Amino acid sequence: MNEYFDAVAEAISEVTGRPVATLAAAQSLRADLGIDSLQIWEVVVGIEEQLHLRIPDADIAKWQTVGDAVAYLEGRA
Amino acid sequence: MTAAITGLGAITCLGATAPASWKALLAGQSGISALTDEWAAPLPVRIAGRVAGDADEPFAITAAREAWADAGLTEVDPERLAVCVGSALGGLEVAEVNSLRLRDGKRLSPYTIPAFMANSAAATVAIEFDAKAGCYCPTSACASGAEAIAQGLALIRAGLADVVIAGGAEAAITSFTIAGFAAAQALSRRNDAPQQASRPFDVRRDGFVLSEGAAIVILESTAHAAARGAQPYAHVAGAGVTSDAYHLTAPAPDGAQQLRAMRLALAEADLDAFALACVAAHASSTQTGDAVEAQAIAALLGKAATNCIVTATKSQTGHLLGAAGALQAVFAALTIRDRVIPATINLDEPDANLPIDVALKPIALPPGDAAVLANSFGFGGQNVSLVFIP
Repeated sequence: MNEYFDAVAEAISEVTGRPVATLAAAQSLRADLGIDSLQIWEVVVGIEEQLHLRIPDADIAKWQTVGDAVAYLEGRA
Repeated sequence: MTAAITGLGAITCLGATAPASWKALLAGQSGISALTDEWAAPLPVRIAGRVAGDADEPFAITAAREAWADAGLTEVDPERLAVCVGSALGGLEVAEVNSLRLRDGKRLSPYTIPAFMANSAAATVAIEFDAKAGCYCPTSACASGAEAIAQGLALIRAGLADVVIAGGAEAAITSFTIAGFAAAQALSRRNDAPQQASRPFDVRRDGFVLSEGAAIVILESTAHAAARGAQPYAHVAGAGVTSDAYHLTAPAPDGAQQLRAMRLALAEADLDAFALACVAAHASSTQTGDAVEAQAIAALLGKAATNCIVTATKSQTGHLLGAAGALQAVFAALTIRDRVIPATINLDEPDANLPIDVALKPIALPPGDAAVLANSFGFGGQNVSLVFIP
């Protein structure tokens, strides 16, 4: 995996309490990981902190899975 | 009608539980220490009462879980269970940290406001214990915790709840709070002697010491407690609430409304001053506050002063602001159960202008149904007195 997956997984782990090792790109943020509409913004805070960047709000609405978030960050790189 | 106190919880600078705090209190320990945090270095005041150990959970939750378990409660009808948890300042640290983030152009956590709002602790407790008979957060500065207990008593008297999780919580040891209270000339500046800094009624008192933590009592209707065979620590028998309507920080110099709060609480309990064995004073160690309160207590007691001793536990705990009055209630309940009045430390030279007798060492509660009156006074002229009986 890459640094973007690591950053996303770390942020999700921090918010949900799930171990990083249990997280995978195919997981649905809402259905599989139970991340609600407020928690996703906490995840975003965590990603922004780690990668020192700012993600526009509108871009986050498109994230359905862990992999979507990782792909978005790769696309920005 | 009284309310039974059937469970106690506390997390303070003296101990991580109510029994640990009580034990340290009776041992005459001070919970105050030097603030070694980097942010404290430039402040004029660098002492405070930090909670013992690492607190991962909100203080209110920790104390409420302890009190709940202590009460031995299992099934309570959610619609008969209420929460009254006061706070003077709410989640101030959250506001401070997030103001800095905002200034740096960073995104705020979605929980910024939920964690900052004054009723955050109360609501968190209500969610944890499924309390649906109402969730109240009295905010009356340093009287908040006492007012929460007064409100809990009122709910039980009105028949609106059988059980109330009542108390206060404060987590406000931040640079903003310390600088603010220091600017108001309210804090002791005895940085070189933290454990001697809080000295209620001493001639050299120079302000209060900021502390953090939470204290919770489980209040129950006497019928509910009796039906499940609970053994109460004590009962809350009366509450008196008045306001000075005088000044945002200073107490009214005549102490008339402090006196009236004490009299109202006694009247509600159907007692007179001769029933009192102990007055647990608000006494935060400020020049003006202690002096006004001492005069009001002397006026309340009159000839009954010969049977009643005053004590000021903030000499050991510091000032927990919105949790202070709740901690007074925890200590009052334990005073009645263990039949011992805790001492006031650091009273090296009692202020000769104050006409009260203060407990310099722990004193046995006299035999019989001795009552304890506890005062909590807050910025804004908020006066709350509570009366506790066996």
